[in-house]
Amino acid sequence: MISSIFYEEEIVDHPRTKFIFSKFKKARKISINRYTEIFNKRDQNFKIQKSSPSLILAKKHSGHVLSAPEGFGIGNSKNYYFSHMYNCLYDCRYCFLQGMYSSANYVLFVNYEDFEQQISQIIDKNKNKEMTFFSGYDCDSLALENITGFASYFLEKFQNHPNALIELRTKSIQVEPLNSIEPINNCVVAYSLLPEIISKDLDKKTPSIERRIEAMKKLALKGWRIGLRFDPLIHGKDWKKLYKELHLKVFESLPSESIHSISYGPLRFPKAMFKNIFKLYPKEKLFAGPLVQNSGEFKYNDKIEKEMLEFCQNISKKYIPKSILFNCSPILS
Amino acid sequence: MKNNYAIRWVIALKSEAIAIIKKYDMKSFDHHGLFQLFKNSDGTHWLVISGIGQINSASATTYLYKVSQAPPWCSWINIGIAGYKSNYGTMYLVDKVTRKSSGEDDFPGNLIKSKVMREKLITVDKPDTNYEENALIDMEASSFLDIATRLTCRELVIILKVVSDEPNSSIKKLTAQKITNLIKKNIKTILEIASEAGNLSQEEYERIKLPDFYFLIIKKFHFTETQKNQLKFLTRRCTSVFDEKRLLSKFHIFKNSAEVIHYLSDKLEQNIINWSEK
Repeated sequence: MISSIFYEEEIVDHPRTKFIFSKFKKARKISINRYTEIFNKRDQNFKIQKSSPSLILAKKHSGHVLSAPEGFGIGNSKNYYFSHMYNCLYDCRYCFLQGMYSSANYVLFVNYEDFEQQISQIIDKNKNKEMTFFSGYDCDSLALENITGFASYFLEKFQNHPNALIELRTKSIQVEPLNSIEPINNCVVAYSLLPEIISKDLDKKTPSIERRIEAMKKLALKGWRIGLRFDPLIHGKDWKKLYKELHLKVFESLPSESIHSISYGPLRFPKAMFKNIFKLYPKEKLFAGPLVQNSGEFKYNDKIEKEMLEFCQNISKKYIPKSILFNCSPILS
Repeated sequence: MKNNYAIRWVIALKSEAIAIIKKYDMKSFDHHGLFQLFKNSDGTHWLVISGIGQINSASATTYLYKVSQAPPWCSWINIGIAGYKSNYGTMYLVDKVTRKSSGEDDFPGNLIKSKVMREKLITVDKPDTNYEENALIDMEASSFLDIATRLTCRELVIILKVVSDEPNSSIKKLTAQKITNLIKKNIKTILEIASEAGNLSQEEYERIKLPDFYFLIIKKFHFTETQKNQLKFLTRRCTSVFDEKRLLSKFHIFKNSAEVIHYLSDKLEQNIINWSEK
């Protein structure tokens, strides 16, 4: 899967680097000074790179934990995100990562200890406040777990911070370590969902919706709290029927008490990001839909957005309390 | 389907280029220029003999770009001989290039799936027989890479080196015939890599090209530059879901470019995607 690993010389002796090297014995290992010298290079082709991305092992020096964009949250007043990784195993056509980075290579920051230290500092500063830490903002939280050990490491740490919730955002059916450890109450395993027929077209290289639901079901039965992320909401022929079927299937599969939260997000691209993504995939059907340019964003018109949101929320309200329903409209820059 | 791929070869010595020129049936032609050029009959392959050294390589790459009017979906290949600690005659795909004079590193795209071994390379200003470092040694690749990545994306830039001198095979014993034979010995793999580069180039062409539909419309109406950009965006979006001929059949009713843009925008805004349609 990974044929080349670029690594910063500074972290060559880090245990996580050594572990990854041992996992990919045959991969070419190429030393670099800083990950930016390859990741930020001019004139890279994201689309071609996506066919066979390299792995870049690096150290994150600053900005380990950041405030989540306005409009991003699932109930708590303080929201943060942290990215141990840039880029994703999957290749979803609506994903903003395609337009954000010039490279499709995976960057993995191996110094989890520094992330954890900053997370602890934030938690200590806000002792009486409930807060959420989102992972999987710039990557999928679980898809590369067997290489990164990300969830194993951070879940253990979050056990000591019951007032801080961690969200693992994923499309992966690779559910280790969740399958082997006892569930923790302050973790939500959040699955991104689309109607199957739309997912088949747009979610490239991902497990099918059916398999995602199966994975959620197993985790719920084990006692993990599940987040449902209908984000983005995608418009098209028979969308009401498709979203109704999807909701019913999910609610039939999951015990309602296992559902931690449901959020809905409209399809929105900041103009510059859309320009980049459209350049990569000009023949993508998604971009031939009823998108309008409004306030520096490409999105469905307000009527479609509102109608889709209300329709889906009304279905959910029949199954779960209104208090765990959220709209997610982050303002990206 | 017509071949729209484009490959440009930058090679220091004629003796390194002979096997490639022959395989693609490239011919030299009179162009009163600074560097000797070759091209095949359909113009998909062009080759320049750059001469030794970084300045020559950079100049020849730029020259070939200008004369051949290399498109942005072009693959650029530099192939030549190099010094190494061992493995006389073995070919390597270069995945890291260091310019010795400045210590700067650069990275070709490294997306070719060939089984050929990968190695890093140091580009030197003067012939160097210090084979101790774990890297190939040449005199052109760094500047070639620098220029080629300004002309195309780095995933379409390929550097191949064949080991011509090592501690047991002195650089002094190298002859033009020996060099030709070294490349010839690896020609099968070179052609496979060039074929893959051609496929990537073709894919890029498919991505970058504007729909025929666009060109038909701008022949019919006068568009300002801003309108042309709008039209490019709209026609690209339209071609993925609408039949171009059916759209064009409505065009006789439009009086000007603004009406065309309005019509296409409206068509897309009203479009409901059928996700079950392939």
